[in-house]
Amino acid sequence: MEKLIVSNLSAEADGKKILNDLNLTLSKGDCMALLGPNGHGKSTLFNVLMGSPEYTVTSGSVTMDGEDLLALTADQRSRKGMFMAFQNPPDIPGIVASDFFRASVNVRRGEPVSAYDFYKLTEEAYRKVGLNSDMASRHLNEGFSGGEKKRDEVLQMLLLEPDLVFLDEIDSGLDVDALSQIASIINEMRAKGTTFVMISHYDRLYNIVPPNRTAVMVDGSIVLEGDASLAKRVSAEGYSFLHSEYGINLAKKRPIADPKAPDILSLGVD
Amino acid sequence: MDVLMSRSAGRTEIAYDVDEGREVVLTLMDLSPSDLDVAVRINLARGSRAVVRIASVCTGKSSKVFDVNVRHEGADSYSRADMAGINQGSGELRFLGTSYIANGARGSDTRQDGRVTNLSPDSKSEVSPVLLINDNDVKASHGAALGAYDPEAIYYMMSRGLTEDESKRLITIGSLMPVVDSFADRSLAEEAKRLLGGIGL
Repeated sequence: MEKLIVSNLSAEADGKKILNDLNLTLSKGDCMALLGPNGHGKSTLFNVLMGSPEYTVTSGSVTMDGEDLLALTADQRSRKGMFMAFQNPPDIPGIVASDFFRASVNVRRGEPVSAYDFYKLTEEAYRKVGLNSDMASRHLNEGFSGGEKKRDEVLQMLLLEPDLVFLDEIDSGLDVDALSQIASIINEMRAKGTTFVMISHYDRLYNIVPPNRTAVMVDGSIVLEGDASLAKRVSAEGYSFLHSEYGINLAKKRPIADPKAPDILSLGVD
Repeated sequence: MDVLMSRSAGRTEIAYDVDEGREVVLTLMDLSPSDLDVAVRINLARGSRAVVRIASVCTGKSSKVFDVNVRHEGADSYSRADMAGINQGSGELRFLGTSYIANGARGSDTRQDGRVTNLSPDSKSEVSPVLLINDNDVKASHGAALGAYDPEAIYYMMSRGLTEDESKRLITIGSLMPVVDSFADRSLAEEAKRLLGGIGL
């Protein structure tokens, strides 16, 4: 991927607008910190870009190197080199992790990977993320702890070698040692030109994976962009300076939080 | 006992009386393209055990019923019944199970699990476990799940590059494989896999 251009993108779920005329351009090699208060659409942006069927794009466009991304299904986007590490990877009982990994490696190769090469590839990846390779024989994400799920997402990122990666709170649930293992993997991939966008609420990730860009999302739009210093400032001061210095209203014009969450007003709670 | 039903039709009854301290393991896979009524009857004496695993693929307009009836007659007896099904067409797939714990069968332990994945909006399925308990100090539980594919699981798998069809195929096979893998007779397991491939799974 050389360039991803998001223009005037609006999207909704269950009739509620979540992305609101959003503009964003990513260039090869970028490492962006995506910040914003809870419930303002960060994860939704990742999921819309990855092709989740849960969301409907109502207007705008997304192109990757000139190609219309929105016309592609999630699996086609994956095979174009996109990858999203899920915030909450689902348990999928019945599917053995190594069978799934092998299938996902094979769909992007002309020839299926040989048993020996696949073994070497996965052993190395398990070692790098600090998981026991015995986990390959377990069912996908089933019974994994929060931290194991996050490492398993990074493991799949290593196996699939994507060009453009969205990390949705990859650092949550990881201890300090695990975080530094994951960070060195991200930094290694960055050195090879992989583009990253990271959502995190903690600057400990941004301290060891220093972004070159920061974007702040409010009410479904990118309202402010800057360099790494912006991420540091948000981490130190919170979001209130957006209002006092830039006149950005932090209140949402409409409820855009989890569309599946109950409407508090309808529950009779003040 | 391993049973692979590929051309069966009509009613089949499988019955065991399990003597004190003995165990029966029944693994049954059904891939028949026809109506079927399978009844499994097991009587458990003191300290005996029964493990029943059933997998069924219901195609076309077939109507299939699997009824597993386990009677714990003796104390400290143990049973597990696990039924997994795929309903592909507009037919009917029913998993019925009854665990009966007799008065005097103290310390017995029973569990039933049933799950069916419907692949078509016209699929009609039922999972109905029943526990009848007539003594104290027993363990009895059941689980039932019925539904279409979990859209979140499909999206997750697609986000790793698998097509929607391939994702569904893996989930479907995944729900049946534990039964195939528990065939003691390996040649039967290979035959089951070959037949699964033949019906597009």
